[in-house]
Amino acid sequence: MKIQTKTLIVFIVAFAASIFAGVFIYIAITQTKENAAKSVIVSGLNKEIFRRANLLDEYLLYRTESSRAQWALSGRMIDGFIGEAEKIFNKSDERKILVSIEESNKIIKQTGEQLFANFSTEPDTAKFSRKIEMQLMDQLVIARSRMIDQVNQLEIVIREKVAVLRQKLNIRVGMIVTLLFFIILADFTWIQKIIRKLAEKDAKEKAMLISIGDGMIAVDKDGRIIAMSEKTEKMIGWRFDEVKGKNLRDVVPVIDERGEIIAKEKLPMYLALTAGITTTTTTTYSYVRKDDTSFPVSMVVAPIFFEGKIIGAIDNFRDITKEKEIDRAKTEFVSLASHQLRTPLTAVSWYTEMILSGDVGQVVPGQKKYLEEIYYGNKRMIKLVDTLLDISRLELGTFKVNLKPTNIIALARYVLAEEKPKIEKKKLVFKENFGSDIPAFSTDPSLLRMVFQNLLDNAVEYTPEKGAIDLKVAFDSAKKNILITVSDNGYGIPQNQQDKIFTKSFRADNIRNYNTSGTGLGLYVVKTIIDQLGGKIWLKSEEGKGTEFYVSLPFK
Amino acid sequence: MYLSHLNDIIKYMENDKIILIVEDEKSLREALNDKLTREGFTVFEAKDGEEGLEMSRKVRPGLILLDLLMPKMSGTEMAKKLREEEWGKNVKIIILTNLTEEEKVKRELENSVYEYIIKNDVRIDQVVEKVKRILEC
Repeated sequence: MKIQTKTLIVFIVAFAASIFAGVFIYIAITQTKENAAKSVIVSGLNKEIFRRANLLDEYLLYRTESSRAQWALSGRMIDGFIGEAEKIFNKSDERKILVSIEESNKIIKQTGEQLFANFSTEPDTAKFSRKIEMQLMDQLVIARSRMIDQVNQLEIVIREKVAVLRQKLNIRVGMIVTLLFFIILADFTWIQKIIRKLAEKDAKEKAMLISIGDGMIAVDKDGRIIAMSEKTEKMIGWRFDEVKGKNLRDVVPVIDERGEIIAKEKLPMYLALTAGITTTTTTTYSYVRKDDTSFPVSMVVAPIFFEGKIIGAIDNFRDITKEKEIDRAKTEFVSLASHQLRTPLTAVSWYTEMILSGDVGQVVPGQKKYLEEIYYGNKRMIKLVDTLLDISRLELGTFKVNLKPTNIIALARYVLAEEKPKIEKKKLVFKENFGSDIPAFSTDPSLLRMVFQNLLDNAVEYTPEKGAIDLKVAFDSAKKNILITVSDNGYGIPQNQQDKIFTKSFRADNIRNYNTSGTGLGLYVVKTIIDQLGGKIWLKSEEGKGTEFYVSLPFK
Repeated sequence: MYLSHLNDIIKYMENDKIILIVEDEKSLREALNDKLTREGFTVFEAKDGEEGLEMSRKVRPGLILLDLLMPKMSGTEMAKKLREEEWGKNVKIIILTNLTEEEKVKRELENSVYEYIIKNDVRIDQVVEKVKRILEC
């Protein structure tokens, strides 16, 4: 049963029990009230009967008019009591007695009136004899004692009823107390069950969270650790109770491949907490353990939203040491294989060249055509192998960044000279715009050369004939950087693929048709180099209109 | 044998027409040999550094085309040994290399004069051009 249903049942039972108890108390109070009223009437009646008797005695003794008047008053009181009694004495036995009381009262009243009328205050002038007076007196006494008896009888009846009611009430109170006790007990048990279930649910959820087989750290909105998986403890070397409530940034510093601590503003966790951005990383980041060693991680950091607000963030991460090792082994293999490929490729190239130049006899046109295909196919392979080698060296880090004072304009011109035949062949309009005030700065010329080469190669390759290409190099002395801009009015890069353009082996859909020999490696090489040189690369592009690549390099 | 016969001839030849190719890859070695022979040079071959050193002592070439990665003795080692010998100090050397070895060579042969050819970057006629240019000056 659902917890909501259970709490509802507990509430309904408690509500019904209190209504029941309320009704019972109301009935008990009304009944008690009624009985009290009856008792008051009966005792009042009793008292008044005796008073009336006394008044008669008084009259007979002193013969004063006041006694007679009081007697009549008392009679009216008694009538009043009887009138009240008629309203509330509604049980048949009570009514029967009441009727007989009324009868006796009537006789008393009549007899009394007779007595007062005939025996005035002057007994000597009495119309009747003493004997008659005595007779009337007797009658009166008989009726009176009968009435007293009847009233007593009524009192007894009521007392009995009160006694019975009290007994009944006692039993009912006992029953209700017992019932309420059980209801409360049942409710309490249920509430306890509900609490236990809630606690269990909570504990289960927590167990689920901490049993996640990957690294998992949850933080609150201020970046303080509120939960972590057991696996995390093993990975980072800290126990949860050691770091609970501490700022994640202080506990687990994040470093890049060069071992430098990543700035707070660049951390995925910061982005999640401040901007609600979910970040997925694959490489470059490493976590520092308790013992100051580190391991590379792949992580997904996502904000935790609750009722539309960011209440924290959760970091799921994995140790990718093995992946990195495999990746390295793969890169090493590529490097080795490319190396081995170079010699036979050179041999094919040289021999084909010698045949083509007629070194070993005349080549007929048909043969020449095929040989040229072999030659250019081989050239493509050489270029690909070179690129693969460059990549593997960049990835393995064997390409040590070799900083030298470099004249960037001379370097650009050198690459342009290489590109010139291709530019001319496609009749492209080339414009250069080199800042006149660019001093030599410290960078790696051979790596930077590859940047120029790849960006210009692409611009030439992916711009249709008679298109335009611009190369701009400028120095921003305020920002202390060098800005290279390579723009073309070529095929462009589709908007939805621009974010993937720097990934390895990625080629935009629209240019696959124009050039089938592209490898999708050029911009990856460029990006890797720019990263190593500490620069930035970004682009603006519109499909069918052209592309602009921007490279900014630190001026050192 | 073959060499001792040749020795006499060589003495009378201008040694700037003699080229020694030290390269362990047979296909590349023979391609260069064929091409340079057709261009009118006298070409000798050696397939490793050790053989190259021995051969160069005998034939005293005007130019050595020297591969780097070879069994027994590497190109750089051979070049160093060559430069230690009196006659070998000024022998012209063109190093045949793959791109990746550039830095290493620069480090190891810092005090030695040599030219540099990246094998799979050049056409064979460019090699010939370079050889001619170097021998002329």
